[in-house]
Amino acid sequence: MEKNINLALEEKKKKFDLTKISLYSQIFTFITLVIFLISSTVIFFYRIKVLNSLDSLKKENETYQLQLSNYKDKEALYLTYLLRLDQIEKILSLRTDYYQIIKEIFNRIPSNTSLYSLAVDKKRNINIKISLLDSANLKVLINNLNNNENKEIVIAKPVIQSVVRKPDKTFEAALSFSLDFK
Amino acid sequence: MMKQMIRKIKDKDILAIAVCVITILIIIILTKFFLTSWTNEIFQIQKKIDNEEKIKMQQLSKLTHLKSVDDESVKKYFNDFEYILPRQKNISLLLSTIGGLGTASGLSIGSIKLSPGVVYPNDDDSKKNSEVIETINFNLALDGDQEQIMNFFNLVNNSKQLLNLININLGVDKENIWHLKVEAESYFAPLPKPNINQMTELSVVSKNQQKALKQIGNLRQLFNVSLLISGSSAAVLNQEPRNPFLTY
Repeated sequence: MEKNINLALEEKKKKFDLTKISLYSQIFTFITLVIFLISSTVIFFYRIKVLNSLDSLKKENETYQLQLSNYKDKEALYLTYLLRLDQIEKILSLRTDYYQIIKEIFNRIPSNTSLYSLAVDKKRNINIKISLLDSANLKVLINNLNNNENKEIVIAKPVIQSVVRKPDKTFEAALSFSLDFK
Repeated sequence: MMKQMIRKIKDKDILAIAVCVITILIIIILTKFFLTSWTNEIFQIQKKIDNEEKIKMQQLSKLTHLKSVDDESVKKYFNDFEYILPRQKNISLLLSTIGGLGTASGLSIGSIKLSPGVVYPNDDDSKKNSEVIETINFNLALDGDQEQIMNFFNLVNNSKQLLNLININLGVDKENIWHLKVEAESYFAPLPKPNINQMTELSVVSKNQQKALKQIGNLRQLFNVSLLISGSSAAVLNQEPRNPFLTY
């Protein structure tokens, strides 16, 4: 009877071997402690190193700042110069090249047709008044105005506002159109 | 006796396990409070270092750039700016520019009309918004022939003072004299005030600014030339367009 009881106790003893658990936990704790100490030391020294490099960088920058302060006037002059160039470019970008526009319009007006009035507004809307020998010239003019092939300046939406036949059998026409640069 | 021995061993093991658990807990706490804060601090410092590095690079490039800037040539541009885009309403400069255009193109100026508004003799630039470009509108009536009119348009593009034509009206009379009416504007703006601080970047001249410089370069060449040469010969025309005003 006694033997049976002892056997059962021995099995339980195997399941909860405190000595082994204690040994494993000591090993685990030791390893953890070593890792902790190594990593703390590394992090500590790295932190010091990083702090030192930050300090040296700050000192370096202070030196540059000091050097730059000697160029303060030059910097202001240069930046003002760049900003002024921006302003000039802004105005230049608004500019319309009337020389090219007028030249282009003149070139598109056929012979036997006289231009006697031309108005251009800032939206590049153009009104012209022309005098024609006969009505066929009007067709040539419209064809010329519509022909934008290989042209830098594109004429769009030509509209004949009026055509008047005068007593001398010539015609007067008023046209409008808009134009743009390619 | 055996039982006591076993109990002692068990107590020793339990004590060892307890010590281990406590040690682990301490390590966890230390890790939480010290290592984590150190690591975070290192990250923060690293960020500061990156920022300082950035500042260092900027300052270095700024220094190099500033050392390479030729003060004298920049100052010369400021002399040009006084004509191209005056700081104040400079009516006499505008009138002389218009007169110069008339002379150089060969056109006769019928009338000049401008309404510059209030003109302060001692304009205080510091009170003005440096970003604003102000305009002076003016109207011109000019007479001449086709070549002179075309010269005029070309010269406006190359005028030393920036001018922009808004509306034009061109007509011809029976004597084949061209009459040009122009609505135009000239500009003035106080010198811009740059915001200079440690982080102000000193850029090289941008593409747009290069365009302006190119124009100024052209103007430098043309300005003297166009004013010296009078009349029709002042034109820098490539090709003469057909004269559609000639009556058939």
